[in-house]
Amino acid sequence: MSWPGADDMPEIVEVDPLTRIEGMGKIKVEIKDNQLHDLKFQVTVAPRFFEYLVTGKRAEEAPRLTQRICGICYVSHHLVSVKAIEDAWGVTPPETAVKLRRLMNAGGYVTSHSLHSAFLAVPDLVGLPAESRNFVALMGKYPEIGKAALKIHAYGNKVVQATGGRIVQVVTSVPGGQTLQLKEQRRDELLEEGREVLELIKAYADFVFDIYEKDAPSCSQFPDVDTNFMALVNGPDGHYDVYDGDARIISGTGKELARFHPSKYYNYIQEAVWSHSSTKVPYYKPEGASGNLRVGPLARLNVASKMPFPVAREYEERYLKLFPRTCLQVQGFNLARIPELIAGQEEVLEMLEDPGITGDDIRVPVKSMGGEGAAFIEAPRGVLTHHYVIDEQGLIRYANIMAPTTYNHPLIQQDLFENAKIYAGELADPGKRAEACWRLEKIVRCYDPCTSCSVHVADFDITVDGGMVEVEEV
Amino acid sequence: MARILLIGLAGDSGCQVASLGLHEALVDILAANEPVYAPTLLDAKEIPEGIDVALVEGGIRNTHEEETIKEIREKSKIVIALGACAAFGGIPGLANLKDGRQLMDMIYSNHRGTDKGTVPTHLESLPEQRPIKHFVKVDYTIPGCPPEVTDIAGTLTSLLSGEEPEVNRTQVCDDCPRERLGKYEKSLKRIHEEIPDPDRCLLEQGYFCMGPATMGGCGAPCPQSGNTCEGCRGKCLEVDDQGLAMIDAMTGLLTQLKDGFDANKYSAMLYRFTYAESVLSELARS
Repeated sequence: MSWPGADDMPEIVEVDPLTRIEGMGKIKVEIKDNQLHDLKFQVTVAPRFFEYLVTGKRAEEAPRLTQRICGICYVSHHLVSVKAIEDAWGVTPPETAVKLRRLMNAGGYVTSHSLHSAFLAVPDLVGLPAESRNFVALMGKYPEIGKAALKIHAYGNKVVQATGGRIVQVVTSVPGGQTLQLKEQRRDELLEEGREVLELIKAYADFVFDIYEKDAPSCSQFPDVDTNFMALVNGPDGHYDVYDGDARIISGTGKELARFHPSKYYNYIQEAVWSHSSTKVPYYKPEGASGNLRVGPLARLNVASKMPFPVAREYEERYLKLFPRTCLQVQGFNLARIPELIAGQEEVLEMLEDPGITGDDIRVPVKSMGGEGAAFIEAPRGVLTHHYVIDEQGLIRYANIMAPTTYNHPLIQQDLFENAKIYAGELADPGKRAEACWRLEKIVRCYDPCTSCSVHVADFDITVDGGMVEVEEV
Repeated sequence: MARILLIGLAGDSGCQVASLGLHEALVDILAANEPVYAPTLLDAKEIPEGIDVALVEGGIRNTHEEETIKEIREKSKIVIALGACAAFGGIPGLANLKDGRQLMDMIYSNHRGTDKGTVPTHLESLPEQRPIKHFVKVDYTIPGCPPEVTDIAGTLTSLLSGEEPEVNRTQVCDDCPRERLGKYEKSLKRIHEEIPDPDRCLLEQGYFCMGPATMGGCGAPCPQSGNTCEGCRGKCLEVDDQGLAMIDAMTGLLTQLKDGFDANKYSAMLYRFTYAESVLSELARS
């Protein structure tokens, strides 16, 4: 048996753990002769088997059980779960209930996007020293911006609490409607504060836009990666809507590949299992397992025709000047979140200004029955699908959940790979390594991956030619 | 100036997000102390020595998490189990009802909509989700899914000023304003099938509300929002097992039921957050 000499062994560089992301993960890079030999993006959160643990359970409990997949986009899981059950049972909730759900969903965007932007992403963009790229340091350097971010985040929480009953895990959506009415006094308080918060969000948005607009070259600092994109769109004009609508898939050149109702998703999307990986990766069926789909803020702004909110629309235009369609640049994600944060707040205000929001027609009683249903929602991180088969007693017999990070996972890997290829020399050089590793971490943060959401543990491996190979047993 | 660690293991980061709900108060706590390791917020890559207070979210489901919790214990004066998963296993503990191998088959090779593939073999999964106390000594528990921000702030403030945090001795019903009359319905109801009386006890109306078997201190937000208590804060201090305590509490209702009661159907109700530490799961292991 002959072992390769020590000189032939690739040098291993690890970023472990990845920080300022949701959940736990790491990157392992192997460099040989200053060339990229191998790169692995690995999620180290254990699988928690939610699809199994809702099976055999009462359908109406699924919205409360499955939201525990994610402590950040729990609102999205809660709402898409109840939509899927209502699809299975053919139930239409009263108009007021739909408005309350839209309000809750929009509030979820305000908290989630402000959290990612201020706590996780922006500390990379404002010239903080390497050892203190974090929110506390951001707050020290720009106290007004830090305070605004905290107020925006707190306000999103208030909206979620007023509609969902509490924050981080909500309780109010049941098949047939909502269990909690929004009282007029609470509405008035939220509306008054909400108008002030929109001004704070605009100030925060200008702060972030300035960074990008003053440094336009940085907007193309990572290699473009050509993929398909998928997002929800609504209406004949295919406008932006994060609560309801059709799924639309476009290619990297902007060509429409499909537009379909979520309940028919299985004609278009299938999940792949690789023996070397434990993440199931959804793909666009007609293209086979290589038919990847990128989802999330970048996809939504690429796919939807326009945002139907006036202030968000202005910022969307500013965004499109820097990241024109169809944008293949991962940097687009971070800035795309800003018009989306505004759109979230404008939808909150639109719902609160609707006199129907305080109505008491929030529920219709629903009989438990058999059926099959599926629904989509745009979680802050991208398209989220729940699909259930329910038996005659109203117990779940099959559940399929596809979270946004499972779509994006191989693309995060690909973005990292393309970048590491260019910076292999820097990664190998101890003097330049820290900077090169930081570049890789910034790519991961652009996606705002939700490793807990990916449900199953993930372990990817791409070789230099881009093909998937077996991961070695450690 | 205490050195603080905040980490998430097999959980969903919700407890850390709940901690962010402290907003300015959190920034004050962080600024007045020394946060030394918190991967969600800070870039430190190594768990340092000499941690005063470690806040741990999530349970343990793989060897990576097992090693991490042991390392944290060695390096920390005080370890706090933050939230239901760290404290009792949480909702992922319900998957302990099935063997890990069968689960992998179910999800990876026998799932509609998924290509038939080989079950991944390299996973360093443990056979069950367990609370962190199964592996290391836990000094304090902040229960809940999510934990209440007031509990997080209260516990931290007490510990940082050298005092013992208060232990809650109430049940959720003590916080609930719904009226109890001691009269029960003759059938168990499902929350979507009828619209409950907004002012009366949900359990007395036949809805499966876990309030009597669950530690109080949350202010009962769920029954006040028109839905049942799920039991996310775990058992009350004085009892041994949450599900058994609930069956005791339901004596009045169960004797009235005309159709009987099949406990099998109610695993996700009786033990939604505490199956991994339940008497039942101990029996299944032996």
